[in-house]
Amino acid sequence: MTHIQHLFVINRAGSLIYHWEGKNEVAEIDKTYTSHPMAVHLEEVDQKAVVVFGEKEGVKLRYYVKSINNSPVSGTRFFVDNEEEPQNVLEFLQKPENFPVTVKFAAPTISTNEKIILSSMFHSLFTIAVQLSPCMKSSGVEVLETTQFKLFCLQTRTGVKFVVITSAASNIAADTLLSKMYELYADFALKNPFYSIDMPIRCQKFEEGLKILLDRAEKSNGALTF
Amino acid sequence: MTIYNVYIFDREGQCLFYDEWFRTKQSGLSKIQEYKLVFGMMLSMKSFSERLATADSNQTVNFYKTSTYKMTFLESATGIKILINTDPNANGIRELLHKIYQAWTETANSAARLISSETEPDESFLKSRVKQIVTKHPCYV
Repeated sequence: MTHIQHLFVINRAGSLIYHWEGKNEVAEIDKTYTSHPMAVHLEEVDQKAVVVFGEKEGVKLRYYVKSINNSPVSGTRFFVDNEEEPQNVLEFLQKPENFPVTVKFAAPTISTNEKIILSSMFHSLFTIAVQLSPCMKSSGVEVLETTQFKLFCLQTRTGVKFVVITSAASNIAADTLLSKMYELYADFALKNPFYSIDMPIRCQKFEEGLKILLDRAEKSNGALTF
Repeated sequence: MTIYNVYIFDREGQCLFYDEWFRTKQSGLSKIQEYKLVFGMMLSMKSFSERLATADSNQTVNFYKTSTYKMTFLESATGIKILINTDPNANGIRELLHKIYQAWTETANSAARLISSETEPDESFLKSRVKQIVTKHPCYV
């Protein structure tokens, strides 16, 4: 389990231009249901069949259906053997004749689409925090802490935001990490003649530098400088 | 260290109580609009955090911090939400929020009793109690 979970670089308009995600194991669980109806209640959330009620025997809330009878589900659809037309997961599981059925559930992950949504959401929260400030010359959100994670944000003079999300237990020197990230961005993205500003960063040197930086940050957990 | 202001909302988003002490900048909105914005931001922050965290246990948002202030959140099981703005380095704000919540439940209950006996509830009573609690806190001033 690594402490650094996500990195986001958000441009001045609020769109995501770079993201990185720590590799954590995603829990998966196989369940065989012999009779209709199933013990868990599924609903379509963000184009996935998600457990919304009745968590039981390792199948937890927000888990989504990954495969049915070993045929992979994409979105809420999957192919039944020898059939041309894809079937809807929720409709399939409503029919008693399809039982017994083996369903593979997986723990929730954040898709790239959701990351884009989250970035623009954070961008607006950041701006609202400035407006609601009770005193003059406030910046936007710099730290957000919940019981599950800590979020640190650095906004540069040009309006680019660097966001790092760590586990709640970590005490990584996020300020240093963020300014080093800014340095890498300036060195390898901005100085790259093929990089156009405010566009997604696709740059090998940037990624290599970031990888080294993250390794060092992860190892120096708690240290002030690295 | 300073304590700037406090908001108490019911679960529908109605602002039940507001008071400020050392607030030097107003939001530039009418009070009602500001309450709506604060409540809306808090809800978005909650949904943002829920989407971002993929672990399965429940989570609550503790606080957010900017360069000049820190907003600490407390939500009771009944959906009452208390938000307080303080200096970013203030400590022991969670305990302060618990005390305010306690004062709130006590006075809100007695106010309800007063309404049932058809006398005007004394709103300034809660205000003075909250003020008392806040001024006692080491971070005040």
